[in-house]
Amino acid sequence: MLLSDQTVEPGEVFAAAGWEIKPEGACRGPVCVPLGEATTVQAIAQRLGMPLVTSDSHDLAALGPATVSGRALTSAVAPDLELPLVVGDGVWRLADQRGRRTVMVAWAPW
Amino acid sequence: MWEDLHRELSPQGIDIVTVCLDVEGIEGAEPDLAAVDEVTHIAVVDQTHVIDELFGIVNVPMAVWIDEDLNIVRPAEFAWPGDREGAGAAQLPDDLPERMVDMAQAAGQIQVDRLFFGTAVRDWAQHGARSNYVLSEDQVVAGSVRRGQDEATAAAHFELGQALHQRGDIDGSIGHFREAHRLDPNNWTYKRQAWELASRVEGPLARFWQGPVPGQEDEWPYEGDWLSDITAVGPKNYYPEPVMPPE
Repeated sequence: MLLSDQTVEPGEVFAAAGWEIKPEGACRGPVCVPLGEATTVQAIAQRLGMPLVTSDSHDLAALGPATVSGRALTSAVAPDLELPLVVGDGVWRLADQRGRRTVMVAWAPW
Repeated sequence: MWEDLHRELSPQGIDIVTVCLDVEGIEGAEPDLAAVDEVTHIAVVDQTHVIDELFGIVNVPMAVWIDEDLNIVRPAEFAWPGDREGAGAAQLPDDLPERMVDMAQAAGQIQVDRLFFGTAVRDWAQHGARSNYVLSEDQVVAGSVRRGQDEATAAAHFELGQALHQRGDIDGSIGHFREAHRLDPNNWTYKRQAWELASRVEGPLARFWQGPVPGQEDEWPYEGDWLSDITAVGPKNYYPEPVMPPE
């Protein structure tokens, strides 16, 4: 996740990455990681094993994904996803698929 | 092909959603979409490779199954919509450049079961949550690709590389893409996307070239390219192994 302003609120940053900051910790689906005294973006990211990489030439940083499970997925709960439609206008939200089964296929022209 | 599968499975409650991964948007995908008479499935574009990070997509084509309650029931795995053989088995034009012939031969040696996905998804269509191909939460997490500090740091570098590319800082983007490739050499989306952006080949084959222009190897900004990398890792390691159902 790109951070162009590293003073942004931690709750906002981690919500965008799929983690909700609760009293018991940072939670995603059934998984909660205790945060202890961590309150800043950098400290919470460290708890979640999310590396922060900065650009030398631009005022930009990127927060990598969490590594707490050692796998790409932390739980089976599908994360929020919203992407622009190619055919038709507007956006598609994965949440709108509730009640239908979905096979999400990644492809590329290259 | 995906459109055909969607039309077959949609009456049984399964929607195919295709996500085009391309930093430069949908332009490159237009020939593929134009080849479909009428697109009835949901087709979206992901210009920042967000699904790579969220779902563990490391190559294409790969698919994730998500049930009616929005739980993942199969992690990202190789997916093929039909029963056709791979690209390497196709009849090649006589005038194809040598590199493309070599690439087609290497692609033909990729050892994946192209029938597995179709068999599995039709079983899911018929049996729903009782399908043997539906996995438990623990199996889904364990079956997703490995992500340690190196892979997560690679993801951050790849995201910075994309951002810099989109801001026009091509040299800066290449530095981050190279670092993503070094840290996560098994992520082929990071490689294939960056190689495509660096392609200097003209014409309809450009998007498949994935390497230096012959005679201009010194100008290629990456350590690897598709042909040399797949030769190095072996075609059987091109896609992660799917989680097989119990016997």
